[in-house]
Amino acid sequence: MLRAIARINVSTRIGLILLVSWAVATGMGKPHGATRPAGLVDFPRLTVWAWEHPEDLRSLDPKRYAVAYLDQTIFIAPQVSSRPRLQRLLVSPAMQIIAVVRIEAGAAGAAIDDPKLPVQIAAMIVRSAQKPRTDVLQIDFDATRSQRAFYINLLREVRKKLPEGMPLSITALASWCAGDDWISGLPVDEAVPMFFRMGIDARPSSLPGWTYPLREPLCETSAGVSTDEPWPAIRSDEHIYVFHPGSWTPAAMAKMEAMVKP
Amino acid sequence: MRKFPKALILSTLAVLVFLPRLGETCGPFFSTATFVRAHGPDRPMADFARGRIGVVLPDWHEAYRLVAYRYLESKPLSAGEQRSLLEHYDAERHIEPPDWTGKAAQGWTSAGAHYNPAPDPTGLTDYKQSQSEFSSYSNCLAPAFDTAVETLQDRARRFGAASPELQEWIRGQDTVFSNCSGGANIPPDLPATSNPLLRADRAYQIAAAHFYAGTSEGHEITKGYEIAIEHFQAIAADKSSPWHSISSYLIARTLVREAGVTAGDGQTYNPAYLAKAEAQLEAILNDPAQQSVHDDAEVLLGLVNYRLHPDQRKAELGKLLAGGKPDIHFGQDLIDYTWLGRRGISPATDDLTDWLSGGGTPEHAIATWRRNRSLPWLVALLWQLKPRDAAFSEVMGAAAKVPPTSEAYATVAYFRARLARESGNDELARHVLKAARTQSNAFPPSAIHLFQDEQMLVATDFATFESSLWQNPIEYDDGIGDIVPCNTADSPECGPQFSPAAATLLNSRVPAEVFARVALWGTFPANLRQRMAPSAWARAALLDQSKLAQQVAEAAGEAQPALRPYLQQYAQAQTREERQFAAVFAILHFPGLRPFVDSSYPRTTAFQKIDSYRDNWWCRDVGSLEEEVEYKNSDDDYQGKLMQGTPAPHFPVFLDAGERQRAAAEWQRLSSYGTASRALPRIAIDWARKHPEDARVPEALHLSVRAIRYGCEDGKPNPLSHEAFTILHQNYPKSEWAKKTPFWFK
Repeated sequence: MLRAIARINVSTRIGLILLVSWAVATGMGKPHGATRPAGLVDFPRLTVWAWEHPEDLRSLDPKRYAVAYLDQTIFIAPQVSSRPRLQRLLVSPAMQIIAVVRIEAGAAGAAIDDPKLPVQIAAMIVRSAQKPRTDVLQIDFDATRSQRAFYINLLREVRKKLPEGMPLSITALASWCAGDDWISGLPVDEAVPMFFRMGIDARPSSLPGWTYPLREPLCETSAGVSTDEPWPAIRSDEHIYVFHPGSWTPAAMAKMEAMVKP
Repeated sequence: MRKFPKALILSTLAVLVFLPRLGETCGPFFSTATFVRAHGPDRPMADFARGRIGVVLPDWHEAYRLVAYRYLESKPLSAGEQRSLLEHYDAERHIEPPDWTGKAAQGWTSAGAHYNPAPDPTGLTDYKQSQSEFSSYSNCLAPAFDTAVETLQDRARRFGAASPELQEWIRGQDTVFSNCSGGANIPPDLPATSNPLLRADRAYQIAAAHFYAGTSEGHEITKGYEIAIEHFQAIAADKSSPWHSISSYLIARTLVREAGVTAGDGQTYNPAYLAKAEAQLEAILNDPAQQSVHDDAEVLLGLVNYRLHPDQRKAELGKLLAGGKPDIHFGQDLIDYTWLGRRGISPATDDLTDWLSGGGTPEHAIATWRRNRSLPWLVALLWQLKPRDAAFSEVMGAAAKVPPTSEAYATVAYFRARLARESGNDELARHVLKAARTQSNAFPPSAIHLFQDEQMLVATDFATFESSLWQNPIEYDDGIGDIVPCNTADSPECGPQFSPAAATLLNSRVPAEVFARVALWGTFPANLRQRMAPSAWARAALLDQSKLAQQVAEAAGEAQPALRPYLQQYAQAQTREERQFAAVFAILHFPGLRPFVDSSYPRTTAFQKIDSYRDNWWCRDVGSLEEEVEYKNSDDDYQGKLMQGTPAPHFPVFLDAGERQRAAAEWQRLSSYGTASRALPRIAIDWARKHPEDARVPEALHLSVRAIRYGCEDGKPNPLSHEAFTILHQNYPKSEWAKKTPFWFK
């Protein structure tokens, strides 16, 4: 924010500071989504993503960490099918659990327009939410432009079928949270901007602490990062989802801790 | 009430101002044109499997180099091996097996429904929750469903489609499969008076049901498997049962399953059970009477050995995959072999593994080649040979003897030509390339492109040079995992483009007059001429070669009519300084105008429009590094390595000494401009300070701020934005350009 102000000339700057003071005083300066929704508020700040690798995360302190594990991958093309998690995951009994459902649409083409598809896929997704240890459901789908209508309908269906009070989280391409703000109004509790594997030149710096212009409130409560890429600047009140390429090892956990501290 | 609209306006303003202005980001994922496939063969993969290996590169993934090794060794893949390879691999490395289990389960459901109008309505799922609460495993595999369908059809023929015997058989089988996703449902024994075949079937169904029930709730962890083994043992001992051979094999299957479910911390399998399975499988393979299950037993033993004796398995696979006897499981074995390689076990003990590891040190490679004189080792040497190496002449001499009929010809010829050029023997390079050109019909596109790049470097005349500059991309990589092949030229992106090597050479190793000549050359593809003509003008203008700029101005104007007024201003400029400003003023108007050509990432945004991803004007390399021009790190790209890992390409051979000197001097001057977002505003500001009366100045200052905002950054603060902004607002506060410039940017 301060950096933005510094780029603007003095008179405009004064005017804007006045405007902001007014906006803050009236509550407008507080991002709509800055507070995590009920159900996610009590979650630890750090969540470890456990992807399709054998994982033993019993050493993680449930007071400091939650675990988001890939529970199933749903393939839409060439036919609808689901592959559950095939790798072992061990966590402590007190660990809070987010079940993640990954959707692979690939070259789904016209099949994605079938109006029955969102209902069918939602039923498959909700199976992950119904597992006894699931506290939160998260959907990971890099929907292309042509798949967005389907995704919106799918999320509506999932929301209808989700156990009452269970938060619904989605992962989001960083751009969805910035200019390409199509996710506004989705029936989800949070959208986790993925600040890694962002494609060519999307990350403005190779140094930690880089910034990205988020504008969607759903994206303002969390950040998705990876242990093998520099992290953006993360506010102390933001929830951090951490990905690690490969199984989590003590060295990977130590690296994550070191990246959290600054 | 009167305050409300003001508050609304203020709040709207606050929101508008403080929300980030950068709104164009998306992904972003850019499509990259591929001219030479960096890590594997060209499509179609079937051609490669058949032996069209082209130029084998050292950066190819191990699996592809292994297939190439077979052909270099003149041990072609058998038809079965080719088929198996294609089932498991495509041109992007190995592929996941298709969802054949689900398909097979559906096959059973359909077949059962044919004979039983009221099939089990719950359907079948083949995955079962494991002991661990978070994971599953594939419990009922496709062959089980396929066997059930075959048996069903046979029993229907024997007993009648509507017979009570068949219905009971179906009920039994449905009970078996009801355990696939959980449960412990065991079909009842048949009365002793039942048909012996059906009793044998039922015994097998009961054993299978226990196997699938396995670790179901209520059982001790291995109880279900132990019961299953007892049943399979009894069937295996009953030579009258049609299931006795398969039951012997299924004992081993059950033991492998037990090894999985009883694995301890840090284990994937329990070695004690794997050892039992190994003994069982070896007994089967040593028993000729069990020939019918030898194939299955061999595959399962492969899995057991993969886990139990990885070193031994790797050595076995090394020998098997190197050829000798046909391997119908070639694809799976190739996956196992490469995965075992990744686990970093044991040094190479066989020639194939040694070769795939890169041949070790150059000394080891040369010693091995001198010993065996094999083509794979000759290729391995050519990959790492340097002109200064003692063995250079010896290896080049051997390479010269490889005939065009050899599978190694394309690879050897390419590296021979390249090494000849690197050693300064352009004549030999041309000779090799000329000979290779006669064989090019047999080469895949990547190989043709590699030869073409070499041709360009050693061309002795302009026409040959010019004709080697462009290539049709093989495919586009969309950056998110999908490859779009250029099978036809109907897509504009699949039309002619400058190859990365050509772009680098044109941009930094030829004088502006040659650059312009290429742009104006009659036979050059129209789309490239259209892109190149404005670039030739910008190059000449930035180098203050006004006469040359005049020569290409017409073509540049034809290519981009909006450029014409600015070309005219440049032509009318009276002094060198004014010409420089006129050039900058023109360039500032057109974010697509740059003094060089692009290649793998051709700019697709309209010439006069700002590209949302800052592909505007140019970066600090001014086009010398093809990858950097487009803001991509090229670490993972063969062409990038080719260009960056070796000294800068020499000047095209056809240039005379004077042209080379001019090219070097011009490049030095052009590259000193640095990033456009610094160079262009600097010149505009200098002109504005000296010639404030020039009516173009306010617009030039506005455009300078825009160029800094949307141009390529160099990672450092740019004070010119503030400087241009300040001059504009202080000297021309009422101009429309001041109004259009509310901010400045770092």
